[in-house]
Amino acid sequence: MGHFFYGDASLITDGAALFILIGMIVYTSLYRKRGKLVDKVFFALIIVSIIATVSDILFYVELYLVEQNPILDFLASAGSSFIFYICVSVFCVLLSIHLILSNGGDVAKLKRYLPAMCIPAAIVMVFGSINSFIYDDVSQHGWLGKVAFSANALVFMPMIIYGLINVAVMFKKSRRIVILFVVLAVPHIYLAVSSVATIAPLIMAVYLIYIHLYTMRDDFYDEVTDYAD
Amino acid sequence: MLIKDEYFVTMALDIVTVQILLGISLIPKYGKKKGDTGQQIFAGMGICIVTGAVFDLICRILAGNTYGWGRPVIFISRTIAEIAILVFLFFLLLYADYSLFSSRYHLKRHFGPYLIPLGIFALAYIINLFTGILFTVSGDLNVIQTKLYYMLNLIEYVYLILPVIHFLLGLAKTNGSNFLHPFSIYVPMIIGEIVTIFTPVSAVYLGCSIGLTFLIFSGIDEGRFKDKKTSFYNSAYLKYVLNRVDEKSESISSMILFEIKGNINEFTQILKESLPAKSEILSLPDRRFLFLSDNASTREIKVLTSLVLENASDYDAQAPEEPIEAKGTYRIFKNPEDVKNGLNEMIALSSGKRIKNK
Repeated sequence: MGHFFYGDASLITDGAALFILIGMIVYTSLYRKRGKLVDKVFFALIIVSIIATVSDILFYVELYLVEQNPILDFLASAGSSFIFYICVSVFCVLLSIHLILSNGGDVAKLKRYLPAMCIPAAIVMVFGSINSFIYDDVSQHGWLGKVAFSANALVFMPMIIYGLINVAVMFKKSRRIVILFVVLAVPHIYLAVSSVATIAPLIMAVYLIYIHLYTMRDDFYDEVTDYAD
Repeated sequence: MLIKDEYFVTMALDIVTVQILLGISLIPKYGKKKGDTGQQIFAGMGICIVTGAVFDLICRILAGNTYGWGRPVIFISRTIAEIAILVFLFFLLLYADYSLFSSRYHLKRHFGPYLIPLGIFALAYIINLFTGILFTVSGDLNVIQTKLYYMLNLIEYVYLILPVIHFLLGLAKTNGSNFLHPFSIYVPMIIGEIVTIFTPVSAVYLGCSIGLTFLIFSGIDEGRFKDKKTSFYNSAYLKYVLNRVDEKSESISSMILFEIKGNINEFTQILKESLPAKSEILSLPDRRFLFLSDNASTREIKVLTSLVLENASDYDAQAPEEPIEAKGTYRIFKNPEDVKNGLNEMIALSSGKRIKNK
């Protein structure tokens, strides 16, 4: 099968994520008809995940295509990587907005919590930008490279924090969800730290699958699909 | 412990597979009733994939190492993983049969013939445990497949043809409106197989788990809210809209109810031609049609109502075999409460109840 390296593996995991996300675009078309605010946020989550996934795919494709031109290579790969970090940050904020709305929150509550939600995302964005543009040059020398490298781990922190907040809120409603999030969080952290591939888009897709499944749990859909059949 | 990169990625995909299926089993209430046959078969498919993914994971973790005890463990794990996929295909066949005929009796009658290929393939894998005719395990715990294994795999794909035929028949039966239903499971499965064949990573179990997820998702996709004859929305959509209008910004401004006697197909065509493209039109029982508008003015609603009625009269003027006698009434909503009342009346009307205060 030839040489297998980080980029190949990431292309496969990103491809799987993209496939799931495109499927979700198809299957959630109903939400876009008279969708509530929470449904619109969910749609935005899917779109942001798709952009993140595509930018990550482009990053690795560019490694093959523009390797010969160092300036173009830098701009293209750093650009894709930058978009990826922005998307992951936006995903974190949108995910927390979705959690607030789906747990009965209204727009007023959302406005109150928005600054607090944006701070970790902003931190991620700053570190992500540093990582995107200077990681290649400074990773081997000095503290800046180490700081930039640690941004990789930081990318996942807001998602884990908001995930835990969600667990606490959901615990009142359904204890089953706790098992699910624990199951999700453990390999999530494990894969983020030691994987040989970028697993973030795939994990984002799994988060979205869970959200959609949770929406389907609403009694209304049971009733209405029975009627529709 | 040494783990090869490609095995590590397969492990990651297997873990995601287990996560997705755990999500399915813990979160939704899929299926219609508790103990529903379709739901039981679906659960069987999920269990097979989880079993396959877990045993595949064991093989990947140990591969590339040289533990003495690892060889029998991998041999047995690989065999269980292969049989799990076979049983999954068997359940898929049962699921396809049940989706098409909705009959336990039909399922029972064909159970034996469906089981025979599974029995033969499973027997081959059990014989392989003692003879190594399909695959063997090397000293560094890698699985080495023989040519016979690939041949058997090709024949296994033939096993898929029957459910495909079932689903295609189902497709024809439902007039193509539920086209996503069969494809939702096959497309991910096939892509998983392609990835497995052309890359060093195995995505078979992930493909199957995504297929099962999409199959559940298809339960509330837009197709379920479409009337098969007219391709307009059905009565269930009315409930969906009612469920959505509690936010003021998403309210409805007006609606037109058409009640007809006569040629329903022609009237459907008239509605499609007379009303704006991408309109929300619902086909209700007893030859009633409902048009919902978010932003049309009173004047526009009046014009649309007369346009449809005029086009229906024009059709009748051609003295067709089955003329249309159409009646149209519009209603302008003043506030969200009014919208809810209006929709509730329509729901009552479509379920055959008499309307009060009208």
